[in-house]
Amino acid sequence: MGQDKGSVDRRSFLKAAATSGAAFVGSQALGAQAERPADAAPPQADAPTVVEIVNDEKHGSDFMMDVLKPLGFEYVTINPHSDSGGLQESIINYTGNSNPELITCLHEEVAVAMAHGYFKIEGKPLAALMYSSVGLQHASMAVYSAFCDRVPVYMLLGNRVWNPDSRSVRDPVGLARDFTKWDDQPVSLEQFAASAVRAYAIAMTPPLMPVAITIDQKLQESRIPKGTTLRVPKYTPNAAPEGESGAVSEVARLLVNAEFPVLAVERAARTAAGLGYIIELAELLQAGVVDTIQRMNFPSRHPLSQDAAVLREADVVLALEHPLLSRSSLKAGAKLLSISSFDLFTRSNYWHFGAYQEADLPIAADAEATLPALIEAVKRLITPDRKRTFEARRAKLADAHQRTRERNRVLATHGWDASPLSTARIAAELWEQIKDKDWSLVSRSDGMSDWAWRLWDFKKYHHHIGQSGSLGIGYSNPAAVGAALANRKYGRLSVNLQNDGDFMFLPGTLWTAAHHQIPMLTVMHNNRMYNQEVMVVARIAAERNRDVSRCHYGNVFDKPFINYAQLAKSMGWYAEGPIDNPRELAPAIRRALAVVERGEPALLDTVTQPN
Amino acid sequence: MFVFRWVTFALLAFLLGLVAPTRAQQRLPAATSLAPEAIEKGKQNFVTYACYACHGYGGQGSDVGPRIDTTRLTLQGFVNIVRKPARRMPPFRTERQITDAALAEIYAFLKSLPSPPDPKTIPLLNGN
Repeated sequence: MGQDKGSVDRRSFLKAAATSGAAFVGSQALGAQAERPADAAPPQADAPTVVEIVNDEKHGSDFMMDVLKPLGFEYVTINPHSDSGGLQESIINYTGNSNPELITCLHEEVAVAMAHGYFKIEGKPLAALMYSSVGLQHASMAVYSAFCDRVPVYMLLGNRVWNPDSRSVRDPVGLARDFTKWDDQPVSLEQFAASAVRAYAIAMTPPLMPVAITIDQKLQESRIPKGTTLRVPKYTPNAAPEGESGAVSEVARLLVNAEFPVLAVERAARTAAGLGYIIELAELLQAGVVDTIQRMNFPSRHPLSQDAAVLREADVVLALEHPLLSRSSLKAGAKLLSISSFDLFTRSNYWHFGAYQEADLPIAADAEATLPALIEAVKRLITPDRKRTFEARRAKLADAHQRTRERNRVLATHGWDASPLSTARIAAELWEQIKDKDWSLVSRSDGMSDWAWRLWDFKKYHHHIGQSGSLGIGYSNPAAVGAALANRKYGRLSVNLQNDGDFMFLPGTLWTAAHHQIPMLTVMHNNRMYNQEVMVVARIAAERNRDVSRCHYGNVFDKPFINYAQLAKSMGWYAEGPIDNPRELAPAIRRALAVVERGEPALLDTVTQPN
Repeated sequence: MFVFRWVTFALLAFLLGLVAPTRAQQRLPAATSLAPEAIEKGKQNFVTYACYACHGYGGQGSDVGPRIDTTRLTLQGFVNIVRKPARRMPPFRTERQITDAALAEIYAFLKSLPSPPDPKTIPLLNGN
C-alpha cells in the first residue's frame, strides 16, 4: 500500500482540477452510497484536467492512471501478465495501490465475475486487467454473463501491437464483441484518454454492459516527452433514457382502470431507489408483483408479493425490464405493457433475447428512470372510487401471500431431519442466526429450491444480488466474492449459498478471498452431482424406453467425493465438513459466523438433498 | 335397493374369488410381503432409477418434483402414475425400464417414511 516519494512528486504535477474532478466523479457515480440512490438527476459537469509534462519521469501508464483514477475505480481485479506490466506498475507505485487497489485473481474469469458481483452491490464498475488474447479467452464466459445480466465491467486488455509476439492479437475483443457494448484499441495517449472516459460513460448508460479498452505495451511503457500537454476529458454521466411522456400516461391509465393489474419485474431495480419506486407503484395500485428475482426488486414478505400463477388472473400486466415475459403466461385478452431498455442496445448472435414479446404497449426506456413519471401519472388518475376498489384487491392479494407463506412452512417440514440435509432446513437454520444482522445474500436465492427466498425476509437492496443472467456455470463463486468485497466496507455479513458444480469451475477464487481478507460465509449446496443433468438424461432415457438407471453417468461427483472443507482450508479459509447430520448444522453455523465476524472467510461443506 | 344388492354381490364375488384381478394386479406383489427387506430395496431403487433427483432422497419434494413421502395413492394407483404420468414426470412405461416388483418396493419405501412433524413443533419455522 505504500507509496514512494518519487511517485508523490510525479503526482504533484497534476493540476488542482484533478482533485476536484475525482471528488465529483466519486460522489456522482452510480451507487456511491450505502443504499444506492437514484441516478436520474443529470449531474453537473466539471472541468477537464490538463496534465503538463515538465520532466521526463512520466510514462504512458502513469498518464493512463491520471485518466482512470478520477473515474472512481475502487479496485482493479488482475491476473498479471507481461503486456500490462506498465499499467500494473503505475497502479502500484504511481497511484500507490489505493483507489484503485489491485485484487489478485488466479484466473481471468474470476477477475471479470468478481467485478460482476461487486457492481451488483456497489453500483459502480470494477476494472479488470488481463491479457488481451489468452486472458480474454479465459474471461469470455464471465463477460457473457455480465452482458446478459446488464452489468458493466470495465476491461483493460494488455496487447503488444508495435512489437508483436506470439501472443499479440490484431482485434482482441473480436471474440467477445457479441457480448461487449463498446471497445477501442487506442494508438496514442490522447486517444486513450478520450476512449477510456467514453467507455465508462457507455458502460454506465442503460442498458448497462461490459466495455473493453485494449492498451498497447509500448504505449504504457514509453516515457512521455518533456513539454507534452495532455488532457483528461471530463466525465459527465448520461441521464438514463426515460419513457416518452404520452406512452407513460397511457400505461398509467391502463393500470388505474384495470380490474386486476400485475407488475412483472426482472431487472427493474438497478438501485435502492428502484426498489422504492416499485414498492410505491405497487402500493398505489394495490397490484400484485411477480418477481423473477434477477435483482432485489421487491420485498419477499410484502403482502403484494405473489406467485407467478397470479399472472393468469391479470387483465393488465406491466413488465418492467422483463423482456422474456411470454404472452403465453397470461390469460387470453390480457394487455401486456412493457418498459424495458433491452431494445435500446443488443446483439444478434447469441439467443439471449428469447422470443419476441408481442407487447401491446412497449416503451423502449430504462424502467427505473421512467418509474417516477409513471408514479406521478398514476397518482393523478386515482379517484376515491378506484382507491376503494384497490383496497379490496389488496385484501385478496395479502390473503394469497399469507397462504403461500403457510404452505411453505408446511413444505419445509418434509425431510426436516433427513440426511443428506434438507435445503429448507439449511435455509431455516441460517436465517435463525443471521436475521438480526446486516446480512447480504451474495448468491442466487433460487438454488436450494428457493428456500432462502421462501423463508427469509428480503427487503433491503443489498439483501440480494440476483443471478448470473447467462445460466452459465462458474459465475456464483467469484461473483459472491466480488459482492462480499463490496459489502466489506459497510460491515455487512455476506452469505453465499454455493452450488457444488458451479464451485469447481473456479475454486481458486477462494485464495483471492483469503488473501484479500474478504469476510463471507459460504454454505455448500453439495449434492455431489450436476442434478439438473441427471433429471434431463433420466427424462430422455424414459421417453426412449431405455435404461434410466444409467442416467448418472457423466453427471455425479463420486469415487471420490470432493471434500470442499479440505479444499477451502488449503487456501486459507476456515472450514468445516462434510456435514450430513442436521443436528450438527446450527453449531457449525455459529462457529463459522464467529470467524466471519473476525473478518475472515468461512466455508461449511453441507451434504444436501439434490434440490 | 338395487344398489344394495349389487354391492352385496360384488363383495361376495370378491370374497369368493369370482372377480379376476387385472394383469397388472397379478404382477404386483401383495403389500404384506413388502417389509422390511422390500423397504430397503425400495430405498435403493429410489436412487437407482433417479426418483430422488426430483423428489429428494426421502420423497420430500423440491421445486421440480412434488412431495411423495405422504402419498395417499394405492399401490396400483402409484404404478399407474409411474407408467403413465400426467405432468412433467418422465414415463416409465414398461417393465424393461422398471419392473412392477421394483415399483412395489419403492411404494413400500415411501409408505414406510414417517409423517413430517407439525410445523408448530419446529421453533425455526415459527419465528421471524
